[in-house]
Amino acid sequence: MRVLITSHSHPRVQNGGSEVASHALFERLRACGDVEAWYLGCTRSTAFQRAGQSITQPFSERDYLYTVGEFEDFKFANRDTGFARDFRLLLRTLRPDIVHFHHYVNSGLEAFACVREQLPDAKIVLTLHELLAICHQQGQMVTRPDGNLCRRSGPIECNRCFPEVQPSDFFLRTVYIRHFMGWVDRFVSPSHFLAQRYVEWGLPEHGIDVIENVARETAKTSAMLRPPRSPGDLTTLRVGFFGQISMLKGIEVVIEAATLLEREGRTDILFSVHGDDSNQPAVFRSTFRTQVAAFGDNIVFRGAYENSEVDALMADVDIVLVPSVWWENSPVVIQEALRNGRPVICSDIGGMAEKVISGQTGLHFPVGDARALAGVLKALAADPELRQALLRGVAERRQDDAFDAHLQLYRGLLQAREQG
Amino acid sequence: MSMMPPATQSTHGCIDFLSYSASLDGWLAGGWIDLSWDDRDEPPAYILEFGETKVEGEAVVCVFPRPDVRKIGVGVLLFMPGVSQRADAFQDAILIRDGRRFRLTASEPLDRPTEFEAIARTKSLISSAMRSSRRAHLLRLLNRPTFAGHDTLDTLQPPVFLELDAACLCPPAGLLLRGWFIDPFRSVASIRIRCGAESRLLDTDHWIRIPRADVRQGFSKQFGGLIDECGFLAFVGDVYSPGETVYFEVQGRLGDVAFKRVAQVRSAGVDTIKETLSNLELRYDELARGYDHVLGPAVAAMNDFRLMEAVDYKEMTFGDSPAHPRCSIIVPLYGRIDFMELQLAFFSRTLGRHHEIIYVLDDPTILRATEALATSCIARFRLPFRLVTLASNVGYAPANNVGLKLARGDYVCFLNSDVFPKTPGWLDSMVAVADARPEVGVVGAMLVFEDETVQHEGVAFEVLPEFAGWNFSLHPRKGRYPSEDESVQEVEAVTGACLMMPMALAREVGGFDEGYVIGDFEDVDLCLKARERGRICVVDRSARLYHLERQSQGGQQSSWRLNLTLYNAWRFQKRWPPAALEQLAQGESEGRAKKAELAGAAE
Repeated sequence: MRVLITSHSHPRVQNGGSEVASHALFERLRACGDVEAWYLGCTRSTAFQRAGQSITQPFSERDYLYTVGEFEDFKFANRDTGFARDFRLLLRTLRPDIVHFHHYVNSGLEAFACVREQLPDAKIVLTLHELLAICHQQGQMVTRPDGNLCRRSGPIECNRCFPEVQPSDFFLRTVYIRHFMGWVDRFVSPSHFLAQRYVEWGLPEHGIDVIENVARETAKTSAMLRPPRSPGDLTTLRVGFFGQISMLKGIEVVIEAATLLEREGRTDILFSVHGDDSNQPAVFRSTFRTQVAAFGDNIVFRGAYENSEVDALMADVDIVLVPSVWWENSPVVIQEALRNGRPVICSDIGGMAEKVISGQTGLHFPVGDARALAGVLKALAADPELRQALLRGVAERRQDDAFDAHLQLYRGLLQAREQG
Repeated sequence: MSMMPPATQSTHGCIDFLSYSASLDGWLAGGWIDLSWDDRDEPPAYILEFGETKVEGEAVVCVFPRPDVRKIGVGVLLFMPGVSQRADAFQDAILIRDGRRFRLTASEPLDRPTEFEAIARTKSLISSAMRSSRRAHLLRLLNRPTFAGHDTLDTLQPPVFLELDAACLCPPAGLLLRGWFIDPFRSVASIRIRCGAESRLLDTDHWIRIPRADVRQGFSKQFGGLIDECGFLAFVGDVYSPGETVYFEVQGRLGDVAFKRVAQVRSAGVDTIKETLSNLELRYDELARGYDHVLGPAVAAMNDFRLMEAVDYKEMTFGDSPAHPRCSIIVPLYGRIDFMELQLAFFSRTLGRHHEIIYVLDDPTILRATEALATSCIARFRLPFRLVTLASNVGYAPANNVGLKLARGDYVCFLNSDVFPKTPGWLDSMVAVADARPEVGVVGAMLVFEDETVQHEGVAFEVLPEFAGWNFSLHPRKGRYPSEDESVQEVEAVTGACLMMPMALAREVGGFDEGYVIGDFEDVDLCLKARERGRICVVDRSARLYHLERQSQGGQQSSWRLNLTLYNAWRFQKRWPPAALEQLAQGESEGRAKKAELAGAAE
């Protein structure tokens, strides 16, 4: 079996969840005896460009990198003629049986038609990593500018968020995206939530497989080996927040809950906040920093961290908090927390609610409700047995191997091709 | 004085000099007339013969003693108000009194002095004429002030105010004048526009009145009874000649005259059409009046001038289009070139390779971007097309007509750039309809909005009372759910957003009428031209495409755009008055009845 994995980015360029997952899938495919695999990442940096070539190989023999040319971000149209030429050539050279796209940004939707044209027998798989096709607001399905959760997109609805864009243009955007998605043989979604949104948007329900992202193979770190504290140690509840310090990630909910607890004189619930706030607007950033500084020891801002440090950092918390006020599709931080044996307290919506089973691997609270979050934390602090039960739940959770599921999907597609 | 000519039986005198006076708007002549002429105040009729052409009217005649002809006649001075002619073609002047004709023949050679020499000569001769009211009248005329290059309007008493904001040439010789006029004591008898030898009376009854509250307020302390509508938009035809000064001549009721120079005459283009049609809101009966007398002739002249030069274009080919396509799709592009990208993406799956696609870029400002996008489109979609780029922005009809000239198909399909196929095989279906029925001249498609409701399933005409009772083309059932019906239906006309017809017919009727400006009515006009030739218009309801309507950004449609639609509507009414539409429909139904009868007889 010959498989080409493409991603909108490359882990050597940027360390986002989907490029890490797609590259992990590629690495594991390479390790299989009967699979030939290649990876095509993308970058908008010109650092790796060679004059006259749009696709280069700066990292390894099986690793390609496309330097993005003219790209139309509204409808994900790749207008770069160099890519149209070089991608066709690459397809003819590698002759993959499976072309598995992760994302449609940067390579562009037309790449699907390109595969079909060049390799009529190849199967096209697309992993949907976010809701960009459905929502122009960075795929967040959160209204602009007021930040309310959005449950339905459409020309009229989207025009409300973007009055400068005509409803007819939103309609055309959708038609264009669907037109090219029509070439895809199989869709993969890392969560049921995300899959459901795409079905509501118009993808065929039976065409989407829900398969979790493939995790990067990591050596067991000291943190992962360090057992959670014994019941006797449970005098304090150490709550960890990991991720972007942003409004959508629910940082304001954390601050508000901490404020409520402080006013009640609670000193047994301690927050440590890990993440980067450097991309945030200046006002947001200074407000956040001022608020955190005003607290005593019960909330500490630890700043940005490298992905490789996350296991060690999680070792120092009892639970991980994911209070996002947008849907989240399949947050990496939940995977990381569960991998580290930490229960998760999260908002009761979207990919978060799906990935954390309330009462088993964590607890839910109503999205955006700081008082409810404070209540959940107090209950947990007061109930050592519940904490133990959640720890057990995390340890005993059933883990499907996402990689095997991918292999199975590819084999199924090729089998159907041979039969059909 | 010239030699006395031989008096014959058919002549009653002679014309020695003749000159046209533009400032007097008439002919000045001098000569002699025989003694039977009854010299009295009542003005005789006159006829001036210039070969085939005649100028007629009532003459002012004064006689004076002339010793050289004293036995047979008297000297005569004539002023004959009328239009200018070539003086060298002059033959005879005829005066008619009490049914008797006095023929005065041109002397050999005829003296043709300049206007000012003629006035001076007449003035000197008239001094010896008998005193009469005719003599006084002619003297008044001869002493009339003439325009000396500067404004004298402020010398008029009572005061009159006339200001011009813009004068625009309506080629070849018309002028559109926008300004304001205040005559607080109603003392003005007439306003003329003069330029060189030409002069035209300004028809103040038919000029378009424009509210100018600013002007009224400025004068309201000085004068009472002023109205807001002191602004005007007026058209005078056939007056302008290049290089000559244009000026107003305002004449008071007491015969006093003053002048106002027109500082500048602007040349015409799309911008002047737009300015002309801005800030006007004509409705009901004002509409027909305003367009008949002012806007219609002015805009028509400006548009004709704009289109006088052949459109310069170049063609690029992307991929190999078929040499003998079934149908040529012609899509004019303006502004939104991403529509081309979208269409080509969708066509790549819905269109057979036996058709050709011709994009006509009617927007030279985005030439480079369009070429680059076209290159990207062929690289991505691999669907061949031709790109024609026009050197200037010419508008919908001319752009389509350039495409039509270059098209090679058996059929042509005019398609808007914001129309996108919904069903595959849409064009093959439309072609099949026309193939199957030779009487079909035009095939339209079923067009839907993005919410799947009807945008177009045929055009019907409706009379709108607020718009002068003119016929407008409407889309019945627009915005409603379409029926499942996928049949072919005969309609009055179809929209140009997607209009297919046999190439030969399209060429025979000359494509779209370019007299419609920018893009209204030329599609239904085209349909009616086909019907005039005995063909019918149908909608193929199985051919479904999206036609998107853009929401207007500023709420109300801009006034010039609406007025341009009204101009096009006016033009359409002139070409297809209600009676002509009725006749067309009647002829068709009679034709159908006859056909049915024949079919019945055959059975």
